[in-house]
This record gives sequence, structure tokens and C-alpha cells, in this order.
Amino acid sequence: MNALLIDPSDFSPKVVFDPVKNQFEISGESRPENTSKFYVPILDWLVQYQSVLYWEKDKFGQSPPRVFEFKYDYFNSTSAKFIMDLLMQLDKMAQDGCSVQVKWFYDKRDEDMKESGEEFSKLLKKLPIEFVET
Amino acid sequence: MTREISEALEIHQYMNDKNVIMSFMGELTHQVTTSLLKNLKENMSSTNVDVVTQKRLYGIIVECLDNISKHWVALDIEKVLGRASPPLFMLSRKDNHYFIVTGNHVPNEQVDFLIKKIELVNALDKKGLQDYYRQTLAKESPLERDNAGLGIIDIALKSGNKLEYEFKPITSAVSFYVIQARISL
Repeated sequence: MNALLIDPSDFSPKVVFDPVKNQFEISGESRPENTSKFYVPILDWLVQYQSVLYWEKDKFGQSPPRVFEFKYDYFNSTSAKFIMDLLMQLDKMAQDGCSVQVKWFYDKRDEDMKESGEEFSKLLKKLPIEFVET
Repeated sequence: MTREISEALEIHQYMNDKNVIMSFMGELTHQVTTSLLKNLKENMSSTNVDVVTQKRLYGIIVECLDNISKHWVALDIEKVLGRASPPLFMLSRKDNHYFIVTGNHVPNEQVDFLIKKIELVNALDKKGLQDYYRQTLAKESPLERDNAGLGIIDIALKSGNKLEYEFKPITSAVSFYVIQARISL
């Protein structure tokens, strides 16, 4: 499956979802002009990747962990809903037995970013979220 | 001195007296917003305001500007009023507070809904706002997104103070909606 690579801008985050390198990372600021247009392809990519993981799980049993790193500096409330969708999708994969994890990075001076991650995690059933102070 | 120049001086004097840091009146496209926000970031980084407050202020301003844009797109005010009347954004600082004020036209049929929404968030404490934010995040389907209302909860959370607002009736169709968020240093 092809990697999903999106360059950052002043108002949208950098995305590196690279299955070959086993690197999955979103970083930067998120307040795109058209939030849906920005996030729907990312969500679509994850849905496709889910079938890869399901196939791998059926064929080989336990798969190596996929760690999704969320490194936001800032996201607006419209983005929050789409970030929730990404996390929900990962949660679904976790509930189905795929080995996925999230690392939620936050600046140690930015308690709000940590709290946002905690709020998201309360809505998830199985997906493990590790909070990482930077 | 022409009347226009003397008025410009008056406006400048007035804004100066009110400690206005940044003010904009005009169409707030995403490009304009981005440029204002860049300017704000540079401005903030040279102050001694702590990072969390800077980020909260930034977040409130983004939500306020996003709100204006949504109303602006939804309402062709020039057609309604027969003349241009662009929205307003103003950031000022007085004593230990930053004040963020925005003003824009809204259809009269939305006024009650907006008042209820603001009164609701004003009645909640931090924990209540967090719960409400989470509930709103959880229940919204993608189709309902545009009239979400997460923004106002986010503003209230980041502000930590009650929101002040006013709806000034303009015509039978529209009112001018002013909202003020305050953040304490």
C-alpha cells in the first residue's frame, strides 16, 4: 500500500503515513480552509490500511504494533471532530484485534493539549493512548 | 485637513486609548485570517505572556474568526442591506486582560439559538464545559458538522471567563451580533 504524505502549510499539518517505514505521524497546526477536504482522504487511507492489517492478522496472527503519533501544536474545533474520526477508526481496528497504538505528544507548557488528548481518550473503547511530554 | 483625515485621526486616537493591539474590518477570507494570525503569533512571541495563555488566546481568535467566516458565507449582507457592511475583529489589552471582540451580521431567526448557546456555556464551569465538549464531539455525525457549536464551547473553555454579547437589531431580517471573550493573565 502506498504511503500517504502531505506537506505542512501555515494552516494544515504534515502527514506521514508510511507502512514500509512503519511510520505514522501527524504534526503541526490544523485549521484547514476546508477541513473535510483535508481529513477525509486521511480517513479513507486509514480505512484502506485497515484491510491490510486485517489480512495480515488472519494470515500471520499477531502483527507488529503500529504506533500512530499525533504531534499537534494547535487544532481548531472543526479539526477536532475529524481527529476524533481518525481516533475512532483506529479504535475500531484495535477492537478488532489489530495491534495499533497512539502516542499523543504535547508541549509540557501546554496543559490544554494534554487535556484535549485525555478528552478524546475518554470516548475510545480499546485504543491505547500514551501521553508523551516534549 | 479633510473630514476623512480628521475622522481617521479620531478613530486612531480612540483605538489607541482603548489599547487596541490589532483590528480588522473587512472580508475575512482564509488568506486574510492566516495573515492576521501570523502577525499575532509574532506579536505574542515578543511579549512575556506564558505559552499556555498565548495558545489560548490564539485558539479563541481562530474560533472567533472561523465563526465570522461561516456567517459571512451564509449571509449575503450586501444584498440584505443594500450596502457593504463587513465584519469586525478587534484585539485589545487592558490591565491583566486580553479582550477579543468580533462583530458580524446574523439572520434574526438565529438570534434565539445563539443566545441559548452562549447562555448555556456561560452557565457551565470548566468541568461542565469539558463534559459538554466531549458530548458534542461524540454525538455529531459528519452531516451535522457545519452548524456544530463546538467552537463556542472551545472559546468558553479557553477564555475561562463568561462571554459577553449583544444583538443589535438592524432590519427585520438581520441583527448585528457582537461577542466578547476575555482572557485573564
